[in-house]
Amino acid sequence: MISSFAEAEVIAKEVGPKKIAVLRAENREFLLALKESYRRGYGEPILIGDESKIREIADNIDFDINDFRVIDEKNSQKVADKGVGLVSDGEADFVLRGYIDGHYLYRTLIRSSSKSGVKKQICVVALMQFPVLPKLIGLTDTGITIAPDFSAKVEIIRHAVDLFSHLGYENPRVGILAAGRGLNLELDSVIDALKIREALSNGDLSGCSIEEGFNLSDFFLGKNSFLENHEDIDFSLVPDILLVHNLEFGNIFVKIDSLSTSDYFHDFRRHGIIMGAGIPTVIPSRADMHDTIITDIALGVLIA
Amino acid sequence: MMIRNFNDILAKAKSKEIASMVIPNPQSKRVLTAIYKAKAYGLIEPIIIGDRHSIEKNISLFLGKHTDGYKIIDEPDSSRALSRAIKILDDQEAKMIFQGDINIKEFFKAITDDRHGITKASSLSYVSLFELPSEDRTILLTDTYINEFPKLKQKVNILANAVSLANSMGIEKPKVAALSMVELVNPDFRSTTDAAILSKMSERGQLNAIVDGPLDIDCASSFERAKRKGLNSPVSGDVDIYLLPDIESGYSIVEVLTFLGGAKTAGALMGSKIPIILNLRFESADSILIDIALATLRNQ
Repeated sequence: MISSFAEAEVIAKEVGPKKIAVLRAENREFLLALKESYRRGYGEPILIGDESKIREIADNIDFDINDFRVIDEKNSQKVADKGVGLVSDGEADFVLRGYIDGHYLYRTLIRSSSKSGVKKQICVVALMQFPVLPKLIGLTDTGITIAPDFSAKVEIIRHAVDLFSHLGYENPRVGILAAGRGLNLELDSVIDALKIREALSNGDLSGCSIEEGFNLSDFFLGKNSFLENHEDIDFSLVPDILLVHNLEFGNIFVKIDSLSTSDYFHDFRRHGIIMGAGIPTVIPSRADMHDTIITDIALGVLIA
Repeated sequence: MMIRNFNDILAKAKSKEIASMVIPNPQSKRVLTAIYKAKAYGLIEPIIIGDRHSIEKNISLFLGKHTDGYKIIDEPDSSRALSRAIKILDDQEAKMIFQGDINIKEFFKAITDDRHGITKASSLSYVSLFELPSEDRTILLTDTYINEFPKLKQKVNILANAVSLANSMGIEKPKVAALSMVELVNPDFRSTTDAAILSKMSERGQLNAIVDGPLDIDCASSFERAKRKGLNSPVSGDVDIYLLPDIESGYSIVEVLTFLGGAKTAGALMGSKIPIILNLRFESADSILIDIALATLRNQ
């Protein structure tokens, strides 16, 4: 079981090398990350984007890319289409979002996943590392569906469970977050949570367990209990996977560290992965530095 | 004096006149500890209503203290204890009420009962406070408990309530981030349109606050990150009040900060005529003590 990003980076050396389709590689931080990843044996890139810029930056950072495939393509939508196409054709193992606007990638993935006739529920699972926790936790959906309904939520859980099985978590514990609280339990989020639990007992959902309760107080304190002392919080009680009711909260939660990095979320780290499209895709932010992107690449190697 | 942290709240509360506070059915260690400390700090004169025998026993068991000097009205039935507490407020024999260990639904029903005129449910909202020691200030998050999917009109009220609390903490014209997950207004997406209207209302001087939105939490909390996205927001990096889009984020964000950030919280139920202190699961005895102190600041 991979319990930290540092561990993911070590294991990826054993699992690699893989072929990485890079969407818009013409960025120094991304090329630095790919250079180091190649050195570590994670795999070799297929560089898609503005070829002359890619070669210029590679030259500047002493990254010899002569042995790698470079695809010259300046149109962002076509970059996304070609990169995803490489993975679906088996020529690459996973997609690394480079310096490309996310919506091109999402559009391509949604299109390619609906080609098969069955509409798939793709989602972003954010892997999060909190210094107080002894393991990684997954938060979903933090990027695609604004207000997933019950069946979408079941699909999203399946994808997150699938991701966690790649990371060696057997039968992960899923916590469904809902604003069900003493004042009112009659909320859509609570009803969905109850139905999801039913789906698990019916066998419609498997490979995971669902935590009792609807919120972190329930998971950490037990149902109907109150917080006595902050010092008594047992952080290990956190579920492996947390499902949010809507994208607004997913977005707030995944960036919760921004509220105060120095006071409460010192050393907090997160990495986003798109699941459900059948195309393993890691999505660093365009503002990330190369050492962060290396972790994304390592995670890509593990899920490919 | 501007309040920068929870200790400032306590210190300022100590300098106020002692307020009488009625508490129905306090039984648990958390609740009794908070009452005991609030009294010891000279913040309140508690009027306790409940099963005298068991309350005396619990105070001795949990705190190792006697109940000399406590006003206890013996009423073993918890529903009747609640009614008597409300009556004491009606008769103006107490200035504040704390929920004690009464079930929150029952408590809420009693305080919002029209016959008493203590408060209307529609005017209430909850504000949660978190200290930011590194910035030497405290931020307010709202609505973290009461309103579920507020429409614009309710958001205006929620905001006014939070602004009023900020004022009593010495923040004259608070900066407010109306949160969403994007910075652009999307007509299909209510948290963005509501945020935009609130911004415009503040620009026109309708809100006694500087509101900007929609903002995602990243751009709201960091001027640099906002700038990187090309935003020039008057609140970025210096937000006093975070307005959450709905209860799914409002309720849960407090728990994320508490259980994953190890943060301590305090809070205030706003919008009532007299201070009402709730007993929420994610607030420890220390949090409740700050809640009480905060309530006495508003009780001027």
